[in-house]
Amino acid sequence: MRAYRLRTLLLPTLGVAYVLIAQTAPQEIFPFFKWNLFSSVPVTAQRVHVKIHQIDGEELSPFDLVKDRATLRQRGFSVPYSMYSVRTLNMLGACLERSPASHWCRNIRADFERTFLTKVRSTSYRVIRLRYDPLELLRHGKYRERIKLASLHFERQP
Amino acid sequence: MLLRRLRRWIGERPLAGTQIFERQRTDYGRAITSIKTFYLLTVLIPAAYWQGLLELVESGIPEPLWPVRFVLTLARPEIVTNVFLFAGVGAFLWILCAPGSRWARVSSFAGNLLVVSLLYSRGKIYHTLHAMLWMQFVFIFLPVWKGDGSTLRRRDRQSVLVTFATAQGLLLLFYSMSGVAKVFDGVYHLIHGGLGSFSPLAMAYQIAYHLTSQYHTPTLPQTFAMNQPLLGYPVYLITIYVQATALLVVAKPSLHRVWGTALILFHVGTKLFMGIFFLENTLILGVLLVNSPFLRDRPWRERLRELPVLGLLRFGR
Repeated sequence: MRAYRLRTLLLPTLGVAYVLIAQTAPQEIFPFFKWNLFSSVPVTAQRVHVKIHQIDGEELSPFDLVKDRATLRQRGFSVPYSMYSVRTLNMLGACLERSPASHWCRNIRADFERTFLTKVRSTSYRVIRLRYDPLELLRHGKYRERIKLASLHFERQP
Repeated sequence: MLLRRLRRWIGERPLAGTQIFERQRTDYGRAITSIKTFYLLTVLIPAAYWQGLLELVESGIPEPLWPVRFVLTLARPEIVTNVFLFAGVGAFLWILCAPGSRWARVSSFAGNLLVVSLLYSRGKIYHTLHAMLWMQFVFIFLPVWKGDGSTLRRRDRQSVLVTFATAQGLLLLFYSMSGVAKVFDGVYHLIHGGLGSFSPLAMAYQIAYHLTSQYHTPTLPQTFAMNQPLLGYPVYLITIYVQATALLVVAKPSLHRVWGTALILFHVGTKLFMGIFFLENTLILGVLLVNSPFLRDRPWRERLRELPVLGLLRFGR
């Protein structure tokens, strides 16, 4: 009888504990989740773009590191497109904006170059933050704001 | 006692004495079938991720979650991970042969926890397998039985039903959390202004944001939904209602199939308009709710009266 009673308390206990842990944790603790998917309307959005304008000494018309996949493949880049790579770009943008000279930012930059620039000896690139209205961007191709965060040069160490 | 009162308050109907035992027998048989079907799914789905897992381990695990963090501390993590994957398969086969064994259920849960943790160790936690993992956790609390479970005592049969209802409740809680968050956002923006979840443009913005953040080109249904937001608006509001009130449906067996089907349709719609699909959730919804062991046939008018919140409008006599 005791085991049965304990089971009847399982749902309320588990439910309350789940909601409390999921909602109050400052960061997501796997496997608890807030389930707040699409709960707010993204009227404005932003993303970080990397424009490459020089590879191995050759000047190019700038192309986008994630978006222009055809050019990337022609140039021999592997495009590790995943949420991890998008997050790496966002983190690169965030650190260049806040503290570009910090140790934290150097690590993120190294991680970015290790992930994306695997097949080039040297390259110059610009990091840009774009702010946009998602519907406006799709309908008219317009960004609301472009902020150049940094112009950087990558040279592979021998 | 308190729990029973709560269930009655939500809308559960009391039964006459002789009906209770009769119903328990039929519900129990159906629950056992659903539990076995659920465990069959737990075998099939991680198998679908097998190749991806192996590639991930070979290419390196960028941000390991806590259950697999120790793997990185080992000299040859790929060997250990392969051993774990094979051990996981062993656990899955065991659970198929003996779903009544608690150790088999614990092993199956542990195996899936490892697989899911590895899959989500790529810097972003996805949530497509969360529900399955939690259902596996709840089913650990099922009583132990041998064979087809026909020899279980009445109290243990009732325990099976209670645990099954707990799994249904937890699954519906996830949807309610999502729905309530949308309701809060909608109400907030109705009071303070701005575009909230109750805005006719909300769905168009969700689609547009998803497309632009993932660098995708819109498909025909996506373009249509963004250009004609008013046509999709009623469906969007119904979806919020179905999600927000989902937890209340756990005590209303006649609505289990309706809510299960509605939530599956929500996932199909999300796939069509946003390209996001929770395949595992649709299968679990099918097993736990559309095919709920507690299903009751009722005339449609009575079902309307049982609708959470809206049922208070009293549809007919």
